[in-house]
Amino acid sequence: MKDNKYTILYIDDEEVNLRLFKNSFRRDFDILIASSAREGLEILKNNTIDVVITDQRMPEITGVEFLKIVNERYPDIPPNRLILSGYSDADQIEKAFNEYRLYRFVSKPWNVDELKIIILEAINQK
Amino acid sequence: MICKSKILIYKVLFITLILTFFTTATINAQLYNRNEAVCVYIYNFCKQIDWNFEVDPENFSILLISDNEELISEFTRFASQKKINDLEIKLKVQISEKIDLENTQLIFIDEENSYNYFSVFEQIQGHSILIVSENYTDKKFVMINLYDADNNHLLFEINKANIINQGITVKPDILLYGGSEIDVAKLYKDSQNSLLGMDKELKEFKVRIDSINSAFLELQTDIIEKQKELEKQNNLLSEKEIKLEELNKSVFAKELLYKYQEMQLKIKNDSLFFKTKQLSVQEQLFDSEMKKLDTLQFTLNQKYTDISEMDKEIKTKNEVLGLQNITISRQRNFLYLFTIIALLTIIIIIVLYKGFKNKQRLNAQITFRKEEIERIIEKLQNSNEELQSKNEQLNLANRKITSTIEMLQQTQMQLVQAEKMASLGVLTAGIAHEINNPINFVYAGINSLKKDFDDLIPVLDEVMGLDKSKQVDINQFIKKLISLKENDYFADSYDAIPTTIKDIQVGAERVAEIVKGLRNFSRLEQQNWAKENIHKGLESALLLLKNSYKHHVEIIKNYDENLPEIVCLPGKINQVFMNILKNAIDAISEKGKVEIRTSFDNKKIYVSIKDNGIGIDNEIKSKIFDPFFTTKEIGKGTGLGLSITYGVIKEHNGDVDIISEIGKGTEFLISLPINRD
Repeated sequence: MKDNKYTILYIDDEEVNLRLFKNSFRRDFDILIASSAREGLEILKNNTIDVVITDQRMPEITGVEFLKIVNERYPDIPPNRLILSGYSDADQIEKAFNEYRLYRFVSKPWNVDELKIIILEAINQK
Repeated sequence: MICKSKILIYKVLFITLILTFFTTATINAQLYNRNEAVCVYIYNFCKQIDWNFEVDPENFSILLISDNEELISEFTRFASQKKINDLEIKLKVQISEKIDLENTQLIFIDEENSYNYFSVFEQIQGHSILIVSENYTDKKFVMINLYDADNNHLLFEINKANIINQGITVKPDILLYGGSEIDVAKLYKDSQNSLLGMDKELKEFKVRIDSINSAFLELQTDIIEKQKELEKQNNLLSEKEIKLEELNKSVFAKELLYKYQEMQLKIKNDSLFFKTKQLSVQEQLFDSEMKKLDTLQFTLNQKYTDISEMDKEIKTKNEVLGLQNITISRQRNFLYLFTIIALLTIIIIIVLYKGFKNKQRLNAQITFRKEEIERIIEKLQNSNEELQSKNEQLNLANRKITSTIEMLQQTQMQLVQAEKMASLGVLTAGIAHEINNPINFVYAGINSLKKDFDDLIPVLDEVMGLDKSKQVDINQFIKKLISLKENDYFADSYDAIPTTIKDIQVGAERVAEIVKGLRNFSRLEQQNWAKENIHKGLESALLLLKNSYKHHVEIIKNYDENLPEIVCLPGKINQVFMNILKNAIDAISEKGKVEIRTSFDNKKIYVSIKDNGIGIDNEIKSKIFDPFFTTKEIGKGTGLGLSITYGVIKEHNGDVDIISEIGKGTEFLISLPINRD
């Protein structure tokens, strides 16, 4: 936690999305961005993350698959923080809710204020 | 007598003896004198000559090159008696070519050994040695030469030059002894002349030799040429020899062949002869046969005449018979006619009788039938009434059927509509997916921009507050600006704004593109035939399907840039492509590629859509265009897509072929005519 802000990891294959997300939430949180699941895993290894937010539709490893890996490697940290947003694939999402500690599913386009509240809830949901 | 002659002979002999004795004596005396003279001369020479070098202080050495015994003995006697320059005379005798020069002062070469003079002369070069020669002819090389003059006196001549050359001086008094000086100059001139003469001769010789040489070279070249020609001729000759041999061989072979043929001919002649004999025999037989034949012929002719006579007889008899036959037949005919007439009359009677009987019977039958018919008519009337009622029932059923048909048609239309809605659903899903992201850019971007701008407002407000009229403390103003700038968010917002604006632009552009694609695609309802480049339809279908293939399917396009526009219903053609492309993408589960290839010939265009997905079974292939046939789970497809596709293609007079292999992939090959005729 830098300057008493929470740290968020956001993963999306669209660079524009990453930029926009960071810019939207930089005043409130410390944002780390990754353009692929692999990059995300690297960042997780070297930093303490409070919330992970990932897009679903990505090449090679999808969002849900990423959550699966995170669940295997880091079962406790970060706590109850996994949120998925964007394109939906119903049974995959259900699986993520049940097995990979998915807290909420948010669809695009996001509303900044709503999303902020959801993120804080997720962090505080120990 | 004999005594007298004997005495005479003895006298003569005696005289001759004495004469010979005297002559020999005189000769000897002469010779004796000569040798002595030689010695004396030499002695005197030695006295008159100065030897410039004292060679041997004790002896005066003289070398004699002679084998004249008398001369040698004279010299020895002389040497023992006399002295030269108060020196004892030492004598050496040699007759070899190579002489011993040591301690020699004088050499005497006699006439017989004069042939060695020149070599001796050469050997004494460099030594102070005097050579005295006897009757040596080459005056150029003599030193002192003794010679016999005409009157049998022994004289001498001196070549002073040669003597001086050897380092010896001669006193002029030497000539008093009876010598003469050789004219060296004349000698020199003579030798020069002779040399010139020899030179001339040599030159002439050279010229001759040159000419001879050139002639020789010419001859040589001639010879070489002739040799070459000779070789050539030899070669030709050898070739001709070879040819001759070959010819000989062939001639020989031909001879053999000829002999063989002769033999054969002989054999044939023999056989021919034999055959002619046979033939003659045959001829004889033939003649005899001919004679036989002639006799037979004669008999035959006779028989012929007989036959002709008999023929004539037969003819007349036949005529007679014919006449008789006619009469017979005529009578027979009359008989037949009569019998027929009789029969006919009988038959007529019978028939008439029968007919009468029949008539009676039939009448009875008719009355019976009449009653039956009346009964049937009653029955028919009954059934007629029944039929009418049934007709009414059928009409009812008919109406029901038409109404069900109408209902079915309606349901079909509803289903087609549903398919359209489904494809529209696919469309809208496609649109939604596609638009989702870019709209997010715009939406989030605008939000972001607003916040960033808000962070800049304080600074802008300060600037706006500036007025020409008001006095401003510049330092304070700058301080304030700097403090505002150092507000955490100012810098970040300032940096973020340009990129945010760009991102919003990107989002807006993408949305516009999708809408354009949609507009293009939604010419679904256009019912008019129009000229269209089908690449547009392919592109808009791909755009709408983008999200579904984005991550796992690679699209490869092989468009023919010269593809002509075709007359078609563009909206429906777009739907066809959409259906087939969607199927291709759905066939690929993990990763794969879809290849789109267009081509054309002068009548049609061809579109091939090939995927490397799951493939189609042969059994399924035959049903694939059937309505409501689908391999997808319930809810995932209506099963109408390909049947509608098929309908549209047929509406355009086109064709669709499927090439597929399980596990390898599927290719849909569509052909559409360019013009509508």
